[in-house]
Amino acid sequence: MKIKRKIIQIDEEKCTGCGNCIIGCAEGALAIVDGKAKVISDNLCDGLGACLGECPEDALKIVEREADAFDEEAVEEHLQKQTAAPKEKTMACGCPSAQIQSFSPCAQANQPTHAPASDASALSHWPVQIRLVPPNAPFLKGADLLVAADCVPVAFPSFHQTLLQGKAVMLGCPKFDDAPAYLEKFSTIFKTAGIKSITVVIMEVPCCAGLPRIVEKALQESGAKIPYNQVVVSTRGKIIEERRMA
Amino acid sequence: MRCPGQDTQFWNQSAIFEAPCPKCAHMVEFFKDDTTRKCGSCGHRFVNPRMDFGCAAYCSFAEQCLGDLPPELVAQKEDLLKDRVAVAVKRFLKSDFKRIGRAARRARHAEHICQAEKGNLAAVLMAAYLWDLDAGNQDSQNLPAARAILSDLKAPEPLIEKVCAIIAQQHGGSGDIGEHRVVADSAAIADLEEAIKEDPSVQSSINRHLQETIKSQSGQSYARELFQQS
Repeated sequence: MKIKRKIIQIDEEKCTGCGNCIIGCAEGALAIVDGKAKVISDNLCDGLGACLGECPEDALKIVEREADAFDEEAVEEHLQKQTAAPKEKTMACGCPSAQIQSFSPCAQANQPTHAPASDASALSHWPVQIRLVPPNAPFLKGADLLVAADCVPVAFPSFHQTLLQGKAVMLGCPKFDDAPAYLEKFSTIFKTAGIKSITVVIMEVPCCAGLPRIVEKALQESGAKIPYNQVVVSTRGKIIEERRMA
Repeated sequence: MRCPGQDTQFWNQSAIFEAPCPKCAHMVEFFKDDTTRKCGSCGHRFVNPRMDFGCAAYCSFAEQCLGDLPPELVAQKEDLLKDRVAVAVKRFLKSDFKRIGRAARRARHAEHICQAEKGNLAAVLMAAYLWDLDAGNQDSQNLPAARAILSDLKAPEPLIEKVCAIIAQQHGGSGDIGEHRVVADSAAIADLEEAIKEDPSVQSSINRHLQETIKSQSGQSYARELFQQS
């Protein structure tokens, strides 16, 4: 039965999906779904607000609305299920973006060895996350811009030497981040920062395709004519495609 | 690196805005992190209309921060404190979800009954959350757990005494405090809800139960309406 009571409300615009609120909720009423925190089921939320102080973005608040009553038995059942559920599930087939892979040490041992590259960082600025870089950042002025998907620096071993050298970098994830906000930001950057060239580097997984789409649309909206390259990296850390787009 | 939210170089255009003075309608410029600004025309100091002070309900630095706030917001301190008590009670009860649920229900009923009984709502709600924390405690008359929570949250001493007096009456405390009836009624209603959940046949004799357990007039009418709906 629905009653009018206090319950948590999440501002999806503000939520960054960091998951801090999940730790603060003893009932397990919150989960990250598609990169945003969500109340799994109203009857799991007691509305006392223990999660509020955990949110760095101030995205949570208590509201009063019609909702299922808090059900402590449902909470116990839900927590039992969570404990019983396997922590990792490897799919034989399915979405390659979500597929968990363990790379065999034998395959790594068979890689040809080479002289170690310089271990100096090629990063010339901070911050690097798209959402943290302001469009008027001084390091963007007249820069060769590298737009990289979050997973690339981890998957591609010579990221610093091969891709980052001499470039300003902006990192983001088209699957979990705020795409419209990124579109607006890139459009402003392309209009105002005098970018010399753009290289978009993404993983081979399908969800990464959103990143070049954002950049292309921003280029279109800005009306700027900037040389634009696309690089695709495999989950095994190889460049599998390089294309000059414009 | 400073937090980008606080670093002005990362602010966008909406971080600086104008709001009309409530006294003379002269436009006053605000930065998003200003708590108050003084009107350049009439001198009236007023609160940033876009600032949400709800964070003071749970922030451990609320005491220091609220000290700098204007009087109308300082008056909300007790109201904000009740929300911090709710969180502290939840943390105290850890994974005892049955008692957490009961505390939340008690507070919900107490809020409704108190509106009609005209008591101190903040004290009533704090008492509702803390009501059974010391139940079964040998020193229940002194309410050590409830006092510890209120002291940790830096509640003013008179408020601690008021809340504890409301709770202590159930253990034979002296005097007749109106707010005690409100919280006792809300606790009785929460108990009845649980009894019906465990044994639905209790619903058939609900009127008798209400007559026996609910003391205030407002509690009686609120409970009748509540149990008729269910």
